Amino acid sequence: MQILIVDDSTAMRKILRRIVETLGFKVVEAGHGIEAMQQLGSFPTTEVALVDWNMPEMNGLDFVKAVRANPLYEQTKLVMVTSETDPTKMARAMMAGADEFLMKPFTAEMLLDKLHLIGLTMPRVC
Amino acid sequence: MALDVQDFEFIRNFLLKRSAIVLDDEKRYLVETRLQPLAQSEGLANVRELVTKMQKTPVNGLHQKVVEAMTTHETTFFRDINPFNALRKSVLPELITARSSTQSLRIWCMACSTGQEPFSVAMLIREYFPQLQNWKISILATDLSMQVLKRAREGVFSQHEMNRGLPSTLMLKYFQRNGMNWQVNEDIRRMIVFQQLNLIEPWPLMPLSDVVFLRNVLIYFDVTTKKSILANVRRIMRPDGTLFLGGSENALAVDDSFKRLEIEQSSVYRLR
Amino acid sequence: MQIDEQMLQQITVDICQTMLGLELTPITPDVEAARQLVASVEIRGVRDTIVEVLANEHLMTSIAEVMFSSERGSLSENEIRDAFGEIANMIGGNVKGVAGEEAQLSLPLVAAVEDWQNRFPHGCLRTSFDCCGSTLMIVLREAVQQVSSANQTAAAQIQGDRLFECSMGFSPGTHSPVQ
Repeated sequence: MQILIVDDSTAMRKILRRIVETLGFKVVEAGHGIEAMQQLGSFPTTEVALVDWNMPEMNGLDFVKAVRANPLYEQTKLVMVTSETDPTKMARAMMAGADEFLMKPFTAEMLLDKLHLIGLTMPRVC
Repeated sequence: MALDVQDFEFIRNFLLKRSAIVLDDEKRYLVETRLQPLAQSEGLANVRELVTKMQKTPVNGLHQKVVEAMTTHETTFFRDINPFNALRKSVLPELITARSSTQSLRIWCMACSTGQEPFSVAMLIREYFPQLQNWKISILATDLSMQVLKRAREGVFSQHEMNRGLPSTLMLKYFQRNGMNWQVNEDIRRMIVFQQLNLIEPWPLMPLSDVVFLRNVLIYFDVTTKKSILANVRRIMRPDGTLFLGGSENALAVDDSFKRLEIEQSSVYRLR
Repeated sequence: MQIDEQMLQQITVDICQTMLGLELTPITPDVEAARQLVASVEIRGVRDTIVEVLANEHLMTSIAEVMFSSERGSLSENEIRDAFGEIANMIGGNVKGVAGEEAQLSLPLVAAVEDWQNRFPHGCLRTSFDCCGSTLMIVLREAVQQVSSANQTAAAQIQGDRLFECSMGFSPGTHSPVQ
């Protein structure tokens, strides 16, 4: 199973990668929304993308909108993983087509909970 | 000062008698960790002094505080998700048909801790069963600890607690952010009655329940106590009622008057 | 909602404990003369607030090594600054969330400051921790734009731990455009 991690912070991408790799995901990374769209193009069967909000070039909200505008990616689940903790922002992301929203800081269990909520069957349980 | 063997034995025996909690030898460190802060808050230097005080005074508030400090309260919203899927997709729809003449449902969440389980049930009903708006829905949530019940009634949760297991759509719909914390909306809070109950003491008389949640509690008790609790559950359940236990628990090993079914990858128990 | 020191402490402790497993102990700030790194984000709303995270290079390297799960001395300067910036991003985002206003969060900016304690605006909300034997300091200060000199001298002093109005006294550097 393929997962796309979209965050401008290399450190945060590393943290997320560590968690999802133990679950058996194959990971692809992107530092902003435009790069993420390119990665999706290369891996159109990506099951889920973990998406930060505040990024250069194209932010997470715009990335979510762009993904949802493309029927090719309608099976890809989108989980915002962000330090935006304002309910208005959260609502905006969900309206744009995000499937779930995880607030930073988070633990591995919290991320796992969210992946269960979006209906993913993990290849390997840690 | 490390907890010595005699003090640990005293605490172990006290907890067994008072709340049927079983502590094996490995839990000595846990007792130390949990009771040292309590000792300090009582103005005592250490757990040895706490034990001495407990021994010298009749059973009172201090003893209750010890029980509460040693009881595990960890819980999350929609914990393990599958029982809630079973409730939504199968258990409640069947009950709605069966209770269409009385239009009432009774659900009991035992050992509810800080309330995430009963709030999850209430939100699930409100969200997925709008047809129950005019039904009499009673959700009873009980726990041994007065302290956690107080928190549960307020329905206030930290961001950390909100980040565990709660679907974001429900978070937005049924909670209000208030500074650092989030509070369950009043209409959801009003669906639940929180009461203190020690599962090993005699249960008060109450109407029969359609659904019982007794999840991740029996594991703390010995076999005799498990049997006694399940016998009580049998008595308060409707003949067509459903019992949910924790994922790793098995009622059949203790009480064969239940039958087990698999619904939405969750084991549920019904009376034979 | 006004942020006070206790909230700021709790936000910082939650982030360091949850994400990094690091224990923080609140301390009375002990001003170090050593060169500090400062990571900052700007919250642009009804008022503009700057959130700064200050630490010496040793502490920041330690924190980065935890985030990257890497061996001692193996990280580049960019990676260290990236990790530090992400800490400021998380603190800033949570401060913004607690404040409850509609606001935008900038991308983080990381810079080195030589005499930071002198450039430090007096009276801004701040809190300090001992972390791994070094001081981690978080500062909240309001970015005052085009304020008249009369208003600057009449900066309101609020009792307790509440946010103070104060003038900019930070090293130059512009924050990236808000998203």
